[in-house]
Amino acid sequence: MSHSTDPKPAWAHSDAWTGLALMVTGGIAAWLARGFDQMSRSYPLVLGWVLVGLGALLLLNALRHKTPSVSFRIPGQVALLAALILGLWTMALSGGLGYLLPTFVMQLCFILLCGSCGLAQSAIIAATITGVSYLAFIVGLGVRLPATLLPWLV
Amino acid sequence: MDAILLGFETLATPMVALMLIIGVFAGMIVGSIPGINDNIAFAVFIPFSFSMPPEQALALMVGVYCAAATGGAIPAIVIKVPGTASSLLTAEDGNAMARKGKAGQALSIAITSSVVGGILSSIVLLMFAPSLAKVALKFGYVENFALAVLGLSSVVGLLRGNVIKGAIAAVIGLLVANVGFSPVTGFPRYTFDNVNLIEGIPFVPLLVGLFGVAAMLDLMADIFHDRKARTPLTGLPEIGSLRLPSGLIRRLAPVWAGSAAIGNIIGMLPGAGMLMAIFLAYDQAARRFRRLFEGKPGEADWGQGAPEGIAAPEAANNAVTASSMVPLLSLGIPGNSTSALFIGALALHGMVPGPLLFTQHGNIAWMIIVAFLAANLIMWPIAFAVIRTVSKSIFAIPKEIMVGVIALLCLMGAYSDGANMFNMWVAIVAGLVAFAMRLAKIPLGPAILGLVLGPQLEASLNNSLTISRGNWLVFIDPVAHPISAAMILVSALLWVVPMLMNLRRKPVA
Repeated sequence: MSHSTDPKPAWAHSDAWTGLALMVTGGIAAWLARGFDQMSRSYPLVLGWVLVGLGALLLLNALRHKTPSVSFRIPGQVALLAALILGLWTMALSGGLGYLLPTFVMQLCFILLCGSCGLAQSAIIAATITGVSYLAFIVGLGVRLPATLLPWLV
Repeated sequence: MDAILLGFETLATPMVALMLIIGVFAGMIVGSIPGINDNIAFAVFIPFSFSMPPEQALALMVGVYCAAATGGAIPAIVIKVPGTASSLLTAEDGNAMARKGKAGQALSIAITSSVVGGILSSIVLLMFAPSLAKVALKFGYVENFALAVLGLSSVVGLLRGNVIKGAIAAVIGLLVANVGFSPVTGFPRYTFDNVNLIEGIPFVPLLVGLFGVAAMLDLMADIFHDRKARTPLTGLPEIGSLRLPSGLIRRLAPVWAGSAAIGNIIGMLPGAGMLMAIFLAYDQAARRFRRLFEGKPGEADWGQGAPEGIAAPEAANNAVTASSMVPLLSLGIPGNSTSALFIGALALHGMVPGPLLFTQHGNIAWMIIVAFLAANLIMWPIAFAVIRTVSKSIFAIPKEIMVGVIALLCLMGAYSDGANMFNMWVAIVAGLVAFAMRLAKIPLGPAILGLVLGPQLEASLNNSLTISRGNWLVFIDPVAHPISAAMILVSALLWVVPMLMNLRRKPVA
């Protein structure tokens, strides 16, 4: 993670965006809480407004440049790629594509993204992980996955 | 005394002793797989245990229960992914120590702390089970609220650095805990008409995401940074020597005693749970560390590889395992969700926990208590054997392959808790949120505490105020609620003392 203390416009400070995001989240939570029944409303309502207040404090602190800013470039790429791979894998499992094929593809994607070995070697490693995990989770621990689209998909 | 001997006699039967050993071994393995916790292991073992005699089945479960809490520390230290929720604080200092080439020592501290905490707690259980249960009975809504306040106040010890960000984390946790039925009226809050959210965000997948998926993203980000900087990829830390120097043992002894005492007290209180115990113990150890060791040459900062940061939560979590059986065996009230599963196992064999258990099935009741002591004693060699064999080969896997393996373990672990695909989405989203929080330097610890204590805080506050007709002074009434008044006083001190100490330090600086 890279930190920088170099002069940046106040609006570009990571804490400014975090503070703003928290203010919006707290505001939405408080606004939604207004729809709850009277007895269940006050506690989340107070928490929502407290979050708005704390977010505002963070924003003010950032505008005064009290803390170093954080770069989100590489972490942003990582989060996006990982979310995409894991999301597609989860959708493939729930869509009935079975365990072996989606898991093999998921492992292959991660190894190719993170590793420095070639496609053939990556495929062998991905296949090994898929096989071992199938034996451990599905056969050993008896985890039951959603039904597959076709009987030969496992 | 005769009853205790009867318990030992029952446990000494070869098959019962073998089941205990198998339970400890299985619990250690299960605990070291992120997401597969002792609850899931119990769910797998209960059907098998039905065909066994009750003493064998219960010995197996005691072994799993004790060892799973210890096994969770292994991945927490080596790959910063807690195997179980009870080892989430161990991950900070443990992994920091491992990255400094002291993984073996960190693992040794974790295991020894667990064993010491468990043994101390088992002795307390053995000696005082019936009388201690009476203290637990005095806890009503008012005391439970005070207990939740005390738990949240332990956050102060974790708020080193940016206090605003620590408070933000605690409020996020408290707010997320609102999802699901209101504990007061049953009104569905923040569920967006999704049936999966009616009982709140599922806790196991949430924890798996917050720690496991986020750790995987961290690992991936490290690899990307290394590649950008053109530095060769560094492997996972080697386990190395497991030796624990005698000086370190002497240094940690007071932490073990204090944390085991906290674990004992919290474990006995129904609903308080293991997480509150580890946070309180961690907080106390942090204060001690800052007083005695911080800033001295050769000492790591708190959270950066301090041995106390491993010893305190590990001693406390194993102390909870035995003490949570006090209200269960004496009164039939489970101390936490896992000990509640013992009710199911006992019921399967025609036994009802409570005072009658000691008269009707004395040998079984005392055998369970003795088994806790024995499980903690045999856990030490078994834990080292597991580290030297299974764990060592698992963690020899290169970092770039470990990313996919951690993702798989985490998401399958999340799914296994209820066989629900929704859990996988919870783990992914929680992982992304935790990753963003880490980037923004918002600590995760206070958020978890808020998440755990949120429902108890709201329900006990509402019920206390309803019963006392809106009287807020009920919590500090030293006559009607002395326990609550004492806990509120301790909570206030936890906030005020550091502030006063800061004020005193400033003129000197």
